[in-house]
Amino acid sequence: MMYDLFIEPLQYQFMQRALIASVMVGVINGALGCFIILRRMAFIGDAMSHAVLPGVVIAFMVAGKGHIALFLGAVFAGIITALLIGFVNRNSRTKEDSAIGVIFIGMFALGVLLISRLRAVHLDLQHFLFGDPLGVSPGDLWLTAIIGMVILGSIILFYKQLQLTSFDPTMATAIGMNTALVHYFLMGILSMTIVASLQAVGIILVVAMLITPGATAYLLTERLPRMLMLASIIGAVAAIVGLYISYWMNYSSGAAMVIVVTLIFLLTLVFAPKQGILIKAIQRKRAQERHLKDDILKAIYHLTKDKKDTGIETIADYLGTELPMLKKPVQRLKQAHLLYTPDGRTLQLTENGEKQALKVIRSHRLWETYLTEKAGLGWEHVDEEAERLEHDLPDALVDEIDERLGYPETDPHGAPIPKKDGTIRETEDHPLASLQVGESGIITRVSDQIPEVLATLWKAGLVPNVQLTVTERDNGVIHIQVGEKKFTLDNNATSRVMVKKV
Amino acid sequence: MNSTPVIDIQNLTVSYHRKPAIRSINLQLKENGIIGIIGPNGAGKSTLLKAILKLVPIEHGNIKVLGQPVDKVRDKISYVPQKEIIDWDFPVTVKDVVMMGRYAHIGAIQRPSHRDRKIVDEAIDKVSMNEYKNQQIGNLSGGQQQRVFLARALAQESEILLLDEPFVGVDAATEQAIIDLMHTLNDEGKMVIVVNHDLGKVQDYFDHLIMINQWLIAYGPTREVFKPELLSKTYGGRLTILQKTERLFGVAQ
Repeated sequence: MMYDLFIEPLQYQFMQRALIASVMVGVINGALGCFIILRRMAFIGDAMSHAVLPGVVIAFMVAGKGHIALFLGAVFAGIITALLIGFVNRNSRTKEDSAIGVIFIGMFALGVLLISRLRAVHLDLQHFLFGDPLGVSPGDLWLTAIIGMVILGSIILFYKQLQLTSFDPTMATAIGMNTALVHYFLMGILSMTIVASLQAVGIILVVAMLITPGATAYLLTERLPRMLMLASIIGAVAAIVGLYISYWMNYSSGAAMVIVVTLIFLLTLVFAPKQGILIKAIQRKRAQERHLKDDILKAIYHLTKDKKDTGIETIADYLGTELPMLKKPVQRLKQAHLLYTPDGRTLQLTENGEKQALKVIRSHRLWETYLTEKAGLGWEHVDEEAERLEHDLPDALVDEIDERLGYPETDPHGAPIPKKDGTIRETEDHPLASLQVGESGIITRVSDQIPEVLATLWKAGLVPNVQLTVTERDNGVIHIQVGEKKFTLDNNATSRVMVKKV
Repeated sequence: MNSTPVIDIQNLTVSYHRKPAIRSINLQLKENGIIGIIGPNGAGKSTLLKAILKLVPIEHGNIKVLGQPVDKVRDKISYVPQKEIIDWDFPVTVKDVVMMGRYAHIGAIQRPSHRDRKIVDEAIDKVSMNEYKNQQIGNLSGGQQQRVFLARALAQESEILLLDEPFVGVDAATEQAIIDLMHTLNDEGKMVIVVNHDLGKVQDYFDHLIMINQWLIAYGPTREVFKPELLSKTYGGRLTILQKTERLFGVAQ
């Protein structure tokens, strides 16, 4: 089976040559493509592949097929194109991408024009455009091998220059590297690569073999040498698989290679271990789960403190989520010994559970303080922001915020901030609704759940440390007096304002 | 005493698209001590650094470094660019970047020697980045990234260090580390020139100041030139100066 599939075709010499040529093309393009990508020259790569056509055609007219003149013609056309692009860019308002667009299409058209005049000499445009690896001659093979060695050799010899001019051209110039020379050198070997790839994939598709393996490798590694290796391997694998597909199914070989390499890219995009879409989605989901667990602990802490029920339904209600969403995280929290159920129903925090809850509350309340004091955010909005920021923070950062704020006792809403050692000084306070007519109290804190209520209270000046007196109560509505001012609060507000009796 | 200036700038004018960025600047730098370049946005601070290295086209004027044209002494000058121009996703590690500092001394097709590697390790050590040696640079914090570029400049073992806004976006610890390092280098007899945007700490950091606003406004010891008259001349109406118990605080807008 394997023999039939892979070895049997190799009894034909043309297939052997096609295979060797394709592998070389895959490797050369893969390696060179890395630098093209890192220098953000993918578009130039495409342009050059088209622009070498007139050079190749003229060389063909002069010297015939399979001759080294073909390569020289291509390199010549490539350098002319690169110089023209640079010239137009520097000496007019034309931006580089426009200059590339204008020049390369012009050069390509010139090539097509020349070929159409050449019909008589059997130069098949099709072969230039889409390649024909099965037509590789021994001479072609030698030339490809020599070109390949020149290119890989230059990448190894001039690695330093290629790396530094791509990464930090300013420093490269500062220490005396000739960045322009490196650029045109790269354009030169790019033109050679394109001609070397003509037989295997053709002008139209070569840019895919140049860009895609490097782009794939870029998703897999953070080291340049590894990226070069990987891109070469990916290029070679795509070339081999594409060639066999085209042999067995009679597809255009260049197109088959490009489809294979594109599939490799897409698979990597999804499944790459660090940069992949899948792993990122999983990480997001895990973070969400972690945040929900934190929120549950926090909810139980608050509910317990207010001496309310801590059944799972109440918690779902408190968090505004669906009950089924909570089942799994609650189970996990129990397994981690952060929660326990003394009566089989109500959830209670273990010692560690309370520690974790206080840690999140500390982070939350410090953020609220920071956002009001340092970032100048409104009193009523900081709760939502802090809700987003409170999770996954390194302790050191939270401690630094604490330090910068001067170790505040309470957050802007008057709630106590847990200390670094996990202690909290809970205030002895009661809802405003518990005050009788004639009694006075000092506002200790304002529950931060509903921004609209907060905003109204803030505007009215009903903030922590303000003293008030209840003047009248009827049907849950409470009339209060603060200094000279009088306010009427509905039970939406009275249950959220906490006071200390005086 | 050797009286040849380390950097000698004669009548320098630099223009971008025919708009002058620096006009007829004459400067002879030879004093020992850390030199700060201050001035408002668009005053040509970074341009002046780049002109010393001929990174920008020089319209006219003449610059000599260590008594020679800059092309002869490029390996003796290290340059730390502004952070914004770096592609932090580029596949290089801390070690790779610091090794670039050695490229000025390694032949065109030669590989780094054992000695180069040792110098790189020492430079990384000096900025306390040892445990991040093999990290890709994008995974570092702003302060750590700045330390890496500083280590690169150290590894070059140059006579002159040019730093373009090294304090932007770094934490307090890194800022202190940069200052300490500048002093160490200065004590070793190297010239350190720093473009700085924030006027707050100018008096603490720099022994000499170059004040420019396209034209050279003043050059001299900080205590002599960091004065309200010269500052308002440098910053025009764009500077608010608050006099506070004999100290000057400035906010450039």
